[in-house]
This record gives sequence, C-alpha cells and structure tokens, in this order.
Amino acid sequence: MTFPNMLGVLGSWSGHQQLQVTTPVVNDFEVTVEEDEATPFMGVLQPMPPEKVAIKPEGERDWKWWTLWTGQDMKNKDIVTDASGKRFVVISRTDWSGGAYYQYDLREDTAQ
Amino acid sequence: MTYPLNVVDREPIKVLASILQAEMDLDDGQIMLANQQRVIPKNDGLYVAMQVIEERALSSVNRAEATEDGMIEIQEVVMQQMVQIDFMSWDDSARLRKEEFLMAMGSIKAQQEMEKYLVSIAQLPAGFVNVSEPDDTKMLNRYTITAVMQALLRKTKEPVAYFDKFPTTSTPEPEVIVNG
Repeated sequence: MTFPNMLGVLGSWSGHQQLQVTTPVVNDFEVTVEEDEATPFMGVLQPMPPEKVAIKPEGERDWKWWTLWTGQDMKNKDIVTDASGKRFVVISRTDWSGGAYYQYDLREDTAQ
Repeated sequence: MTYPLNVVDREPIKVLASILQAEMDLDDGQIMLANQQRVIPKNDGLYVAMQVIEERALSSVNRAEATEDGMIEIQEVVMQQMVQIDFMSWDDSARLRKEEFLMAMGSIKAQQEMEKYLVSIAQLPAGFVNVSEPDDTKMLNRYTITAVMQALLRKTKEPVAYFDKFPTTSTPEPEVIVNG
C-alpha cells in the first residue's frame, strides 16, 4: 500500500499561506542571511499543540512553537518568513516525502 | 560591516581564520566564528569554530598629531586575545588534521598576514584537549586548542578642538620698573 499524496490536501487546511525560506550562508566567517535570496513557497503554519510543547526539553517549553506542513524541502536553521515579516527558525525536520510533504517544528524568532 | 578599530579594517580573529582557511584548504562553510547557531552538517569533513574567550589590554596610548587642518587624536590599544579553536568532524578528520593548525601558525602565509594586519600570533600554544562527545546518534570528534594573539587596535578622531587663540582684555601695558 503506497503512502497517500498529501500535498493536494494542504491547500484546504487553515493556516495555508505564502511563506518564504532563506538558508543562512557563511560569509567572511560569519553566518549571514541573504534576504534577497529567499525562495517563496506555500505551506500550512499552525501553532504547535500544547501536548507536543509539553515534551520539549526544559528551557525550550516557553519558546513560541509552530508546526509547518509543506512540500518545500528545507534544512535545520533555515529562516522562514511569513507575509507580515515574522521570522521562524527551523528546529526539526520530519521527512514525509513519500507523501509529498515535509513536517517542520519552527521556533518563532522573537528577538527581532 | 568594516571593523573600525583595526589599523587596516580587519578583525584580529578573522586574520587568524583566514590563515587557517588558506593553510588547511577549508571551504567557506567549514570555518566560522562560534556561537552563530550554525549546525554542522552530518557529513564527513573538518569543521572549525573560533571565538575569543578572554582579552586583556597590554597597552593604551593616546597621542595627537598635527595636520594641515588642525590636530587629530590617535587612540591605540594593544590587546592580548585568547582564541579558542574547536576542530570538529563526524569522521576522523579532526583527529588526523588538528596538528595542521600548528603548522599553519608557522607558515609563510601566517607571517605575511601578521605583518599586513599588525597581529602577532603565538606559534606554540598550549596543547589540544579532546572534548569529543556523542551528538544525536553519532560521536562528534572534537579537539580544542587556545591560541594567543596580540593585536594593535586604533581609533582616530578628527578634528580635535585645540586652543590657539587667547582673548585679550583692555588691561594696560605692564609697567617696567628699572632700578636706577
């Protein structure tokens, strides 16, 4: 039994929106984010359920956690930006590419 | 952003990093300053992170120089910096290549860079410490060493106010009394 293709379903979820992702690069030995190198994509961004936040490591539970479902392949520490300019950092990646999507745990970057 | 406090606009730790990168043939993503939330890729290869862990001033000098337009103030300090360098790898690169750091410090490239940027790097720092530890599902090979550097930092302020005019008052000429 093959894994069902979930990408087409994401469009009808709440929180489906235009986002963009930027991969930090090392420039002159410092990690920089090139804003003009952002890649736009569509994804479902929803607050992480409290039962998942509760099992996060101590010290991380008071972070603002989000869950992202999208067909965009990203790496840990990539920067995701929504239409309002809010920034999120990719903390973990779960590969469900068999079902044409990936699931990410994002931390909202409140230090802006 | 240019480094404003160095004679030639180069942060001392980046001078050390550029020497290491050239002598150890590392790519841009393999050597960086520490504490930047950069995740080391889970592939083979050497990764180097550097940070200044301690600094102390060896000298602080303030002097003035005359110019055509007036006077400038030159503020100079010589700082001794202790730089922690971590050599990390998921394979055996860190264990096999860490000694190249000592070779790099005595290289011709290092001599040229030190002269160009007015930085002095000690050639025989203290030894390596094995701080390898498990990370996720793999063992991260990690060796750390502390390098000692001295760097001249300079800030120039211009123009500086100086006084070359003195107000005169309507006091009478001083009387000269000659003992006759």
